[in-house]
Amino acid sequence: MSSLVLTNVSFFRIMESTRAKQKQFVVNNVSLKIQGGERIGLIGPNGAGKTTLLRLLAGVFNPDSGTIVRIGDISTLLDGGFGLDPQLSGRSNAESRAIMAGLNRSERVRQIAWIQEFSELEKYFDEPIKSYSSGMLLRLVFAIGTAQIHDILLVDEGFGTADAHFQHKAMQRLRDMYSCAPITVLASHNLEILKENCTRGVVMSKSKIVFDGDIQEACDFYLNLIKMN
Amino acid sequence: MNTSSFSQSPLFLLWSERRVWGHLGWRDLKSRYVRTVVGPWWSSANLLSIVIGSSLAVGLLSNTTTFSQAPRIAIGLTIWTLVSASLTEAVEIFEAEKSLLLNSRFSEGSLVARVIWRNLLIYAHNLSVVLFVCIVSGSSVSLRLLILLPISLLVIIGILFPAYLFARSLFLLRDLKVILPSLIQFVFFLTPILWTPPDSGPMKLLAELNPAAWVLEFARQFIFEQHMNSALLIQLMIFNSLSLLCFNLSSKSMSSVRRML
Repeated sequence: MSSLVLTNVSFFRIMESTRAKQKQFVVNNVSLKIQGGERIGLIGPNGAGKTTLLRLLAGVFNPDSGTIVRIGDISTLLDGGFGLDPQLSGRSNAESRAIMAGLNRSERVRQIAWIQEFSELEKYFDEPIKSYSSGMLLRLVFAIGTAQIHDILLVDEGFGTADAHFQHKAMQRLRDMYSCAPITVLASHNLEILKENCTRGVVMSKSKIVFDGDIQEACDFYLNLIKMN
Repeated sequence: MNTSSFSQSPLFLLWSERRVWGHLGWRDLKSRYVRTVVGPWWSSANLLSIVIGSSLAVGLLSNTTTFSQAPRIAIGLTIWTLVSASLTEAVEIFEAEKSLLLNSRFSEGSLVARVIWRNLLIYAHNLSVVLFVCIVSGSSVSLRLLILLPISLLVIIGILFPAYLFARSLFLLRDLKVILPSLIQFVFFLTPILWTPPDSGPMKLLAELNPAAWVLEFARQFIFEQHMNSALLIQLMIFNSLSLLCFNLSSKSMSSVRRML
């Protein structure tokens, strides 16, 4: 059974603007227990620590204090465009990401074929991605990012979904992923998407979790929080 | 050391991620030379022109036959290019791969290994320059030149920690980044690449303290004097062991550069 358990997790950044290079907590003493079958909506104003929390959950950052126990494979949709080389083709970039994901040759061939079909790039798939329009690039990025489904899915709001024609297909793919992955953590400002896809809401403010409960109540809490500020 | 801490050890991570940094290093070259006709051979052509220019200058200054020093210089510059390019490119890698560091668990040490690996691929191409210069200058060409292959392994193991340290330090202390090219140039002139260490004096001492000079001397003695200098080899082995040890300890103890991105 997949699970994510955070106990008293803190993570700080060094503030470069100050002469003394002070530490600033981005995630401060956060505890969270997520069991298989839960779909978490992560809500909070900009700078609340949502993306950093996702990166801690993904193992990209190691906490400065506290512990994180992850059971299950993790896939992240934070910035789908990472590691892409503009000089190389969509196919080469897709292959690189498949190698980075640790796939063997036959899995790579399957995944690249899926990415080519899903992105609908056709002959452009073999062209350097620097020649792509922004919409084409978003399609490629989306297809590469969502090609694999793991036990735990972490999604950031910044994960784009391209033009209107592609958007429906992309949203459907995301819904499929949300329902397939035993655990989903979705950070977004779009409360409607969160209500539609999540069962539990976690509200963050000033690096801390300030509410954890039903998604509807979490959205209401967040709206009140914004009004008060 | 328990299983968990072993699997988190920087050297273990480097090993477990070898397929990825191996691929990315190769991809870097593919990207750098995309749509060029001769690809990485441009680097060799560049090296060849420097070898010819340096040999001419050294020949004229020392009143020797113009190209008599060319094979020694070619070997020196080939090895030095691997060292200096690895150091200077490692310094840029964290900034250049910010997105990769913020969105994947790829270790910081593996990014440095990627830089060294791509320069090793260039080094493999540059060996053709050594062969060419040896043939053209009339120097005896023997199988002893093959020592340059295992020597590259000594260089890349030895350079791992310095490159990692440079990459981290200069990422955090950006002022030093500005003077890095001058620093590398300074070390270039202190290393017996264009000159031969004298039998005594401060320059001999400098060569004795410089690990890059050990590699050059070991290679040159093996190739041109048919002499395997065991003492230099042991020094290099000790230096490389220390480099690996320091890499393992430092990249575990230093805080992540990711938080600074």
